[in-house]
Amino acid sequence: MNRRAAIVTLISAAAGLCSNAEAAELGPKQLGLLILRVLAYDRNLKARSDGKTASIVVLFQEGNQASESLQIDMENALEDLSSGAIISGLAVKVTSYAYANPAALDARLASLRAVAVFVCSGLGDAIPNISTVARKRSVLSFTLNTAFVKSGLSIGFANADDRVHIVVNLPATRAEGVDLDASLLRIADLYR
Amino acid sequence: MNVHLTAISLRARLVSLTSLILLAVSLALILILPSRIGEVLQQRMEERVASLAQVAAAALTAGVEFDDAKNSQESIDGLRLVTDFDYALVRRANGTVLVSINPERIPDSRVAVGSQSVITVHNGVMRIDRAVTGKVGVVGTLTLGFSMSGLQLEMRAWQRNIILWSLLVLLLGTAVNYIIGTILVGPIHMITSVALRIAGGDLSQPNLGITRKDEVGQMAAAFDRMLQLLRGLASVADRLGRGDLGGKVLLDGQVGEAIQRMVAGQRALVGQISEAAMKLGGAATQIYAVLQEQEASTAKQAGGVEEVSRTMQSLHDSAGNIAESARGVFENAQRTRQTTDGMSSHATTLNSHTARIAELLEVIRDIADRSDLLALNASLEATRAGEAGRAFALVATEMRRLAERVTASVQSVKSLLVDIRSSAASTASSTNESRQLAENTTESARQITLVTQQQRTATGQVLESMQEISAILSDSVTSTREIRASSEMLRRTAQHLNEVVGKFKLEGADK
Repeated sequence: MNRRAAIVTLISAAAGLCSNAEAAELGPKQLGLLILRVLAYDRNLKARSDGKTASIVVLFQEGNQASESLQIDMENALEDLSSGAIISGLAVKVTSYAYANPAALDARLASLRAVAVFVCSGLGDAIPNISTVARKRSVLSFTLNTAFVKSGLSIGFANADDRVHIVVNLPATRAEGVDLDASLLRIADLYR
Repeated sequence: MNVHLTAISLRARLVSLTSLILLAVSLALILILPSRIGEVLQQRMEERVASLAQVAAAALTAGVEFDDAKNSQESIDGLRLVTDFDYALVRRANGTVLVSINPERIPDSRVAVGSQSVITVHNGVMRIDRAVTGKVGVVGTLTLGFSMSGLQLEMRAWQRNIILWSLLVLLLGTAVNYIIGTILVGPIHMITSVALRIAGGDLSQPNLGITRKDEVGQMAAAFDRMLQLLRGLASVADRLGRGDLGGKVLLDGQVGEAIQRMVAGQRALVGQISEAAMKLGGAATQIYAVLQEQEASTAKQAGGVEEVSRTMQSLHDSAGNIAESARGVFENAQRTRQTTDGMSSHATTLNSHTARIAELLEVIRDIADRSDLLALNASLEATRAGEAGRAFALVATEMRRLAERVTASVQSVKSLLVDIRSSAASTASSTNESRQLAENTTESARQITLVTQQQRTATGQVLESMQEISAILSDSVTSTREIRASSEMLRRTAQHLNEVVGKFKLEGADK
């Protein structure tokens, strides 16, 4: 995909999201679209994958209704969006996984050769461990809670001033082996 | 200089002038326009380079800000597609090189960059240095180089095209000017040719027939009008040459008025000549008649003089006879004195008769004197011309009468002498008286001889005068004949002049 067209689309999408009065809360579909767009700006995406698929893991806290609800919505939305979609030559595959511990997560991510993980709500206490595993397995971490980004995850999405903000923890992304294009970084809110 | 210019044809001058103007304009365009176009092209290139640098800097902002060499390289790789692109260099804020294209061509020198781009030209390459500004301010610098070979090629192409177009405009302008000059000068050549033929006396040229409305057309129309005027003048001159002074001169303007005045003047002059010729003819006729009369009168005078001469000759002869007679008387008286004494008794009678004879002789002498005076008067009168000749006839008549009286007196003397002879014969017997009478007679005869000699001398002088008068009158007749011949010639001349003047046609002049 042409990078400049993509970023324009991304900006348009962000603008379209914020143009809706009810977009104060980002929907699963919008979130899924943003995740797929951001992955396209990762120059190391193919290197971090198995060479065939871009595996995305939806990580949630089992027993947490909000977390499970978000997990279901996000999984459905990503599956809808990834159907037939190709990112950097890779087919998109979506998998949900209930967080138990870092070791299990590490094993799971390793087995899936995951390239990204979306961290649902309810996992605030596990953020440091999740971040550690993600950095270990070079998996780009996303979250809807910008506080998690500040805590160590790489990319978060937030609604503020009637527009969507992409929040990037630049050291975390680099620690996770992600090489984001500067064009994306330029429109993002950065934690350096 | 003016001589040189006027020696060149009008078309050549027009073509030369316009060609010089076109050449000057072409040279100005060739000398000025390429440099101006070069400036414009360079300015346009600077603007294009500045725009490209601005776009490239904008594209580079993220890459430089986030030290993304790949992103930055991709951003500047697009510049390779730009025409005349030579090199590119992106430096971080600390001066280290982030990315570059053709770094070997980049000069070592660094340019301090502020808020504005800096454009420099070196070795045919236009270089621009510009700051790359991110969210946090200046994050690096961009240096781009563009070859100016294309600009130079374009300038040379412009220069070549300008030269070619200037030459083309010069050639086309010269050709157009030549055509225009030919179109303008053509009618002038036609007018000049016709004018030369007219100057050669050929007025049979048709009108030029140029119907243009411009100055040349106006000149041609004026020339046609002048040609028409010349034809009118020639027609008038032909009429005048044929002696036709009648009719009206239908010419306008000063020339027409002058011709009209000339014709009127000639008409008046011919009229005056005709009148003078008529008068001269009349005068010559009158002179001829007068001279005829004068000639006749002179002839008459000559006849009178001839008659007077003959009379005077007779008188002269008579005087001779008287003298001869007186000589006889003298001899007779001497013989009487010698032979008869009786004549002395009749001496008294003879003496009285002798006294009578003396008186008669006195009369004769008076007559001779008057004849002499009259002859003188006649001579004076004869010297005058004309009517004075008539007076001479009277004088001649008077002289003739005097001659007759002289003749009568002589005749009386003769008769008296007869009586004397008779008385002498009757008194011959008286010796004393006769002797005395003879002596007296001798004395009287001697005196008569003397008187008659004097008379003969006088009449001889009169005869000479008469001969002179006759010669004068003969000359006068000759002169009068010559004058009459001259007056005849004058009359014929006047008649010829009148005939010549009569050939002039004066009728209709005042219509």
